[in-house]
Amino acid sequence: MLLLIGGVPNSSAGATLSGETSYLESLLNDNVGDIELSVVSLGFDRDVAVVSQNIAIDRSRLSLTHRALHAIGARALYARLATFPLGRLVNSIGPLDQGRVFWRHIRREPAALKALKNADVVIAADLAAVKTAWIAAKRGWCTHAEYDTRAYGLGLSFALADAD
Amino acid sequence: MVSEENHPHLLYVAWAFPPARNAGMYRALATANAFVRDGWKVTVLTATEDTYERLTGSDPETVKSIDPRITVVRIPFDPERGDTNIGSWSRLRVFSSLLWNASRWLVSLAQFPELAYGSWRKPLEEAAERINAAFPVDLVIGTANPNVDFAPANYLNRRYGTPFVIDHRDAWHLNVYSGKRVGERWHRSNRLERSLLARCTEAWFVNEPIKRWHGSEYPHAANKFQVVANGYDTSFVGDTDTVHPKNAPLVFGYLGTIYGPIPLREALEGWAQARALVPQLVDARLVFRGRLGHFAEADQEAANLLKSFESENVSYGGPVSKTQVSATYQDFDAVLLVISKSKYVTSGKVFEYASTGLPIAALHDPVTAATAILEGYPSVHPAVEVSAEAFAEAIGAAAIAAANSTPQSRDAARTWAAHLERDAQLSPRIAALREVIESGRK
Repeated sequence: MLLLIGGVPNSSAGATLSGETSYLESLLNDNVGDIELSVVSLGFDRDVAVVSQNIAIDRSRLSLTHRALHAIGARALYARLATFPLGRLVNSIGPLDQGRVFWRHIRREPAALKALKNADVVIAADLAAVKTAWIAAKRGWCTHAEYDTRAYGLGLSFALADAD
Repeated sequence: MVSEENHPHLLYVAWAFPPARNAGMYRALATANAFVRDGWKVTVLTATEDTYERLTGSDPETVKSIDPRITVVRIPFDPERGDTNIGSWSRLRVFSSLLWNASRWLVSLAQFPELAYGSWRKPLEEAAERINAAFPVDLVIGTANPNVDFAPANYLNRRYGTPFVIDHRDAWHLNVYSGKRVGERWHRSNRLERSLLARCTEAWFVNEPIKRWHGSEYPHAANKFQVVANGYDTSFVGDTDTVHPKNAPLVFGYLGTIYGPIPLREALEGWAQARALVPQLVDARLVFRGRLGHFAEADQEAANLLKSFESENVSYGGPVSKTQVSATYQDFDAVLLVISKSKYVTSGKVFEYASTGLPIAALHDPVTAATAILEGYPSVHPAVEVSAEAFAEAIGAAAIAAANSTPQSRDAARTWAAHLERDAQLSPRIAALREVIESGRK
């Protein structure tokens, strides 16, 4: 099983305290010891026992497309457009959309691509990871691709105060 | 025409019905149950169960509370929305989820003037047609929001002259938080509401301020407007008669949705200040139960805020099934009523809190409509304004009351709250509507 986290890590997104179990959590609980879990992300720094392979993508290794976009000032335009709704819509169909950026990163990272091709189930923990998971499903690399934002809470638990 | 002697047929339309866990579901459930108890044949038209799992979260236990005499007709609601199987997503959705959403909203708006829900109009009307053909409908009640729930009433009324009731839990064109009008008067949705109000038999609102606002906006229909307050459900609250054991640390509780507009930060800071000032609160705990936000995804900001007060004996215990509400209140010695400021917001929990007989620290702006509901409640401790200091004072007063609570004081408070029971709100309207239907038969 492969967990994809496509967005830039941030501490607030890690606090998934909904009190409900995630798809990933349910699978892990129902198949204790039978699941080999890999994580591909831009930096997943939690030490989780069930994770057998943690592949962190090196964001500094930019693709040619990415470098070209930077050179022509697309990044600044993206930031400007991100400040209003119609701009965000335009951004979502452009080359700097997070989903496209993440997929380009995956293609340049042999270990990540290999993990993606070998996974039976791919879980996208955020919208940025969806495109990659969808491609894996459409190309038949995996049998199932799931969108499960609560999976981002992997390795986290909310400590309840003791009744005593 | 009445379809069957003494058993008028009510078609009740509610997007949120068990196992939905939205706050609005309880009103829908109670209304349908109350009509069936009064001898009506009740058909509820609602969404399929998976809808709530996908979109708002579900509370499967609540299905057991549906009166078995009710016929529940479930139709799918926007199966694509909230679908987590990425393999079934369309190319457009993956290409740009924003573009995909925008295109669907446009299609939805073309069908009914309500973003995101409009595409449900046609399936609702088709289902209403089938239900009416199988067993003629004598009265339709649509409960909103979503306002598309009024579509079957509109359809059956235009086509067959079926009388209907508009039940507003909030309002369509009034922002109950800001008090401002939503949309222009000439807008399509406003014209539809005006038309519905002109043709309806009754329109229900949850409190007097919202009713008054509609009376001034739609004076042509004001004589049909009624207040049907939310009330509490005896079947869920039950007996909460545990009295605080001497010398045990107090447990304060909050039970309800925890979300953006409520003054959560002030409440938590007030709690911390009160603990430093009031001896009864030194070892006391504050337990938050309920959903974090209105949607299936948790409200991260609220979650983080609660977590940052862990050192002040604050804990978050997760959502509570409605069937566990009574047991949850048993653990509390006092409750915090934390609600947002609005002269139009009553909130559902104010009724439930009052039914427990527990001391209530009312942590909200005094202009909030809930203030009027609790006027006369024997153990309410209201804050004079929204600030940590004022909240601390109210919490401190509630703590002293909780520490001195007796079975007699709890009983007195519960007795006072009896008039807030939900059936007491619904009974007069059900009787009036039966009269309307029966007089139409003559």
